[in-house]
Amino acid sequence: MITWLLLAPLIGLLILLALPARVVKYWTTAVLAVGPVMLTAMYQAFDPAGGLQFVERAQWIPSLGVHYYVAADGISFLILALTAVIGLIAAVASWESVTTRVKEYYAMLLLLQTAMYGVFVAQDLVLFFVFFEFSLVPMYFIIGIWGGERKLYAAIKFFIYTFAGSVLLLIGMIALYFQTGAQTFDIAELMRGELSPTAAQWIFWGFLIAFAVKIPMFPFHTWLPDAHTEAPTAGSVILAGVLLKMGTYGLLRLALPLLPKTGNVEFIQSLLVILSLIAIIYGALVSLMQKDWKRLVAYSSVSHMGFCTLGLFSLNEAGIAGSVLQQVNHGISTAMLFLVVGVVYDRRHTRLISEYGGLASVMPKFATLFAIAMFASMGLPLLNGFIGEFTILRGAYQAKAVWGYWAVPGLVLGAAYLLWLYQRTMLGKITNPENQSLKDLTVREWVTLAPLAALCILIGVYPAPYFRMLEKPVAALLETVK
Amino acid sequence: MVSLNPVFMIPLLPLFGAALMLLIGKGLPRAVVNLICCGVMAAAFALSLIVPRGTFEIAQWLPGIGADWAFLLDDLSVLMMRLVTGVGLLIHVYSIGYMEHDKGYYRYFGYLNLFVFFMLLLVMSDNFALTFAGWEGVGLASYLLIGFYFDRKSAGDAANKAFIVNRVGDCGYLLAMFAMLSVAGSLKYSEVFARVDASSATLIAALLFVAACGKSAQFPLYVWLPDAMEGPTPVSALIHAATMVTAGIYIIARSQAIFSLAPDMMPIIATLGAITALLAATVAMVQHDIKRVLAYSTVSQLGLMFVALGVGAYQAAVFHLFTHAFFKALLFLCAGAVIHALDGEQDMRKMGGLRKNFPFAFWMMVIGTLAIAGIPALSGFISKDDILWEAFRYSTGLWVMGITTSLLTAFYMWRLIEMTFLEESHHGEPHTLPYSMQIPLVILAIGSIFAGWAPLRGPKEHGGTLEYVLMAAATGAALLGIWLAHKRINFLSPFHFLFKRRWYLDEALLAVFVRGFAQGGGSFLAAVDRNVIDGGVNAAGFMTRQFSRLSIFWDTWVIDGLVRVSGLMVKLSSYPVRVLQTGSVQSYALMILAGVAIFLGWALTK
Repeated sequence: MITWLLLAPLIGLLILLALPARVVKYWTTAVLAVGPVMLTAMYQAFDPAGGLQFVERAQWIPSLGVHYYVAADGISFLILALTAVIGLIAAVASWESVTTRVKEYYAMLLLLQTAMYGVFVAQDLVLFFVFFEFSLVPMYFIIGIWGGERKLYAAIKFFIYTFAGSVLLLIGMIALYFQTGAQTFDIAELMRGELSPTAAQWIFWGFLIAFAVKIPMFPFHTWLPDAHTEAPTAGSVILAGVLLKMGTYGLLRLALPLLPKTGNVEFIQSLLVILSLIAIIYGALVSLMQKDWKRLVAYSSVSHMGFCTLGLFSLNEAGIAGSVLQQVNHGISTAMLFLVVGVVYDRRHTRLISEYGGLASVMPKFATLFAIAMFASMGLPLLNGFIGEFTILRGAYQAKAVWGYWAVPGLVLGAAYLLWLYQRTMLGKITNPENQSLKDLTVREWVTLAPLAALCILIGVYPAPYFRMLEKPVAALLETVK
Repeated sequence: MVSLNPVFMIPLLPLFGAALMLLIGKGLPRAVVNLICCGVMAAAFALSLIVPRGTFEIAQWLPGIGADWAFLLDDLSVLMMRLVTGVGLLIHVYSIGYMEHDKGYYRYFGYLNLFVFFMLLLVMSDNFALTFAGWEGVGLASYLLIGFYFDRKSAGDAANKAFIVNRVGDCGYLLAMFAMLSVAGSLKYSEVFARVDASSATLIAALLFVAACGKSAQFPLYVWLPDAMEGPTPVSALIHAATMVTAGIYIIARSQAIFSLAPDMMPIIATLGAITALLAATVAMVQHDIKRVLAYSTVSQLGLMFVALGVGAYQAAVFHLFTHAFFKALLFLCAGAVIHALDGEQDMRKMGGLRKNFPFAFWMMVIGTLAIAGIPALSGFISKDDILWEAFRYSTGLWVMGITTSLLTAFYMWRLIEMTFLEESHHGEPHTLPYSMQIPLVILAIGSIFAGWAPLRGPKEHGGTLEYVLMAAATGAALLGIWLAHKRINFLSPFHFLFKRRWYLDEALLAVFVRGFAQGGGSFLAAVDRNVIDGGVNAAGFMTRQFSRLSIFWDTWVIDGLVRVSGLMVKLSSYPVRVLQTGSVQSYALMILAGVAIFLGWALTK
C-alpha cells in the first residue's frame, strides 16, 4: 500500500512527460488527489492501538544490511495525511500563478511529493536519508526558478544550509552503523544498539544540528525567512506545511532515542528547551516588526516550530503528542496564511503590508477565511492550534513549571503580530486606490482555503481520534527515551 | 437522544443562528434575520427556565484530563444561563431598531449569537478547559463586535487592544490549568476542587485571579474596556457590561473551593478590587463621552464585586453581578437610545435638554441612575449594601473605599443626567424610538427596580443598629453625590488632570509593553537577526567564497605554478638542444660538415 503511495506521483510524472503543457496542471492535481484517497482507505484498516503497520520490506544493498523498508505508525500516519492534503492544495494553488515552464514545475511538485511521503514512512536509515536529501532538489528548483526577486540567493542559501546539515546526518549515520556494529540500517535496530556515551553524544549532536537546520531551531533559522518569502506560494505552503516537519520528525525518530545513551540528558534537555523558548519569543517579536507580509508569516513559523521542539524536549507524553499535533496544525494554519498572501500577491504583485489596508470591505470572503487562519494560528480554543499548543504547554509545565511560564508570553505575542497584521491589511478604510477594485476569492482560491478552514474547526472541536492515534507510538518512543 | 436534550439545545440554538447568519445571512431579508436570531434567543431563554440540574456529558474533547464536552448545571450556572439568555434576548430585540440602517445587519446578529453561544459554554461547562474555550470564545466575539465598524481605525485599535490585553489574563488561566493538572490530574471542577490542597491553592488562586483581572477589567488590565466602547452600543450593554465582563467574577465564585484555601490571596483581591473601583470612579467623573462614563462605571462596579469576592462573600458578589446586569444594561441601552435619537452623537457637551422632548429616555435613565447610585429599595442599593456590610466586617479601610466609590458613582451618574437631559439643549430634534427599542428598556427598568428582591442573597450575619447606621451612611453618600452633581460642584478639581489622563495608566502600559518590549524588542531582534545571525551565515558563505578564491590562487600560481615551472625548466634546459634542432636539412648538413671538419682538424693536429 505504502509503496503505491510512493509510486503514484512517480508514475504520474512519467505520464506527465508525454502530456501537452496545458493539461499538466489538471493531471498533477488528479495524481496528487490519489494520496488523500489512498490514505482515507488506509485509515479504515489502521489500528490506532497497533504499532508499525502497512509494513513492506525488501533487500536493497544486502552487503551493508540496507533495506527498502517502509511502514507507518500513528505519528507517521498523521503527518502523511498532512502531506497528502498540503501537496494537493499546493498544486491547485499553482494553477494560475505558475505560467512559465509549466511542465517542469509540476514535475517538480510530483517528485517532491514522493520524497516527502518517503521521509515519513522510511524505517531504514539509508532510505530515510535518500528521501530526506532528495526532497531538497525539487524544492531548490521551485524556489530558484519560480521564486520572487531574490530567488537565487534564497534557493542557494536554502540548499547549502540544509545540505551542510545533511552532511552531519550522513556522518552520524555511518558512525552509528559502525559504532553499534548493528550490521543493518534498520532504524529501530540502530536505536537499540549499544553505544559509548561519547559516541552517542557525537552522533546525537550531529543529528540534532542536521534537523535543527531543517526545523529550523534558533539560531539556525535565518534561511527560513528568505526561502519562504522568495518561494512561489505553493513552495511556501509546502515548505512550511511539510518540509519543516521533516526536521522535527527526524528529531523524534533519530535524535530522541539516542538521548539517554549520551548520559547527559538533563543538560541537553535544558539547553534545547531554552533554545526552543528563545525561538518562541524571538520569532514572535521579530514577526511583529516585519514590513513584508510573507516574511511576517515566515517568522511566525520560527515561533511555532519553537513550540514543537519545546514539546519534544519536554520528554513526556503530553509534550511529544502535543508536538506532533502542533506539527500537523501548524502545517494547516500556516499553509492557509501563505495561501492568503498568495491570493493578494497574485492580484497586486507586492508583499508590502503598507500597500494594503481595508481589504475586508472589498473581499469579505477572503477576510473571513484569513480570520479563521489567524485565530487557528494564534491558538484559539475550538480551533486546531489550541489543541497542540495547549498539550505542549501542559507537557512543558509538567516537565518543569518554569518552562511553561516562559512559553506562555509567546501566546500573547502571537495574538499581537497576527492581529496587527490583520488590522493593517484588512481593516480600516481603503487608502490605496489600487485596492479599490480587488476581486474577492475565486472559486479555485476558495477551494484551496475552505477545506483547510474546515480542518481547523474539525480538529479543534473533536481532536480525540488524533490523540488516540498518538497514544501508542508516543508511549513506545518514551520507552526508548527513558 | 442527545439532540433532543434541552440542555444541549440551549447553546446549540445560538450557535445555529450564528452559523446561519455568517454562512448565508447576506442573502436573507431583515425580517428573517430578526426571526431567526431573536427566535433562537427566546427559545434558549425559555429552555433555560426549565432546565434540570445535574451533569450532562456529550463527547470527549481533550482526552485523559477531564476536559470533555460536558455541562454542569447547578444554581450558579443556571442563574448565569438565565441572565445571559434573558438579557441577551432583550438586547437582540433592541438591536432590531438600533441597527436598522446598518448594512452589516446579518453579520452583527451572527456575531451576537456567536457571543451568546460562547458565553453559555463558559457558564455551562463542567471543567476548566471547556470554560476556557468559552472564555476565549467570548473574547473572539468581543473582538469581532468591538471592531464591527472596521473601517474606523479607532475600532480596529480598540478590538486589538481588548483581545491582546485579555490574552495576558488568559495566560494566567492557562497556567492555572497546568498547575491544577499537576495537583489534581484533571480539569473537571468536581475533581479539581476535591484534590486541591492548601499548598497549591495559593498559586492556582493567584493565576486565576490574573485571568479574572483581564476578563473582568481590573487594575491594571482594565484599560481595554473603555476603548471597547467603539462597538455598537447594544454590544457594550450585553458584552461589556452585563455578561462577558462578569466572567471573571463567575470563575472565582465557581472556584471558591480553591480560593477559600488561599487566605493569602484574599486581601490582595479585595484591595485591588477597591483600588479599581475607586480609580475608575474618579476617571468617570471627568469623561465627556456618554458611553465612556458608563464604561468606567462598569469597571468600578466590577471592582466592588471583587471586593466582595476578596472578603469571601461570594454570594454577595454574584448577587451584585445579577442586579448590575439589569441597571447597567438599562443605562447603556438608554445611552444608545440617546445616541440613536441624536444621529450618533456621543459627546455629552453637545446634548442637554433631552428631558423635554425625550421624556421616555429620561425616566428610564433616571431609574438606572438611582439604582446604580444606591437609592434605598432599588436593586443596586440592596446588592451594594450586602457588599459594603461584608467589607466593613472585614476591614474598615475597605468600607471607606467602598463608600467613597458610592459617593463618586452617584456624582458621575447624576452629572451624566444633568449634562444629557437637564442643561439647555445643544442639538436638533431627536428621532422617536421604535417599540422594539422601548420594550426592552421598560423590562430592564422593572428589573433594575425589583431585582434586589430576588431570592439570591447569601446567608448574612446581621449587626443590629450598626448595620442601619452603615446603611444610612451609604444612602447619605449617594444623596450627597447627587446633590453635588446637581449643584455642579466640581469637587476634587485639583486632581482632575490625573483623572482626565486616566492616571497615566494607558500611557505607561503603552510605553513599557507595546513601544518598549514588543516594538522595541522586535526591532532590535530583527536587526540582530539580519546583522548578527544572518551576518554569521553570510560571513560563512563569504569565507567559503574567499577560501575558494584562495584555492583558485593556490591552484593557478602554486600547484599549477610548480607544474608550469617544471615545464619551464625542461623548456629552458632543452633550449640549447632545441636551438640545434631547427628541422632544416641544410643546417644539419652544415653542422655535420662543421663536425667532420672539427674532428678532422683535431685528428690532424694530434
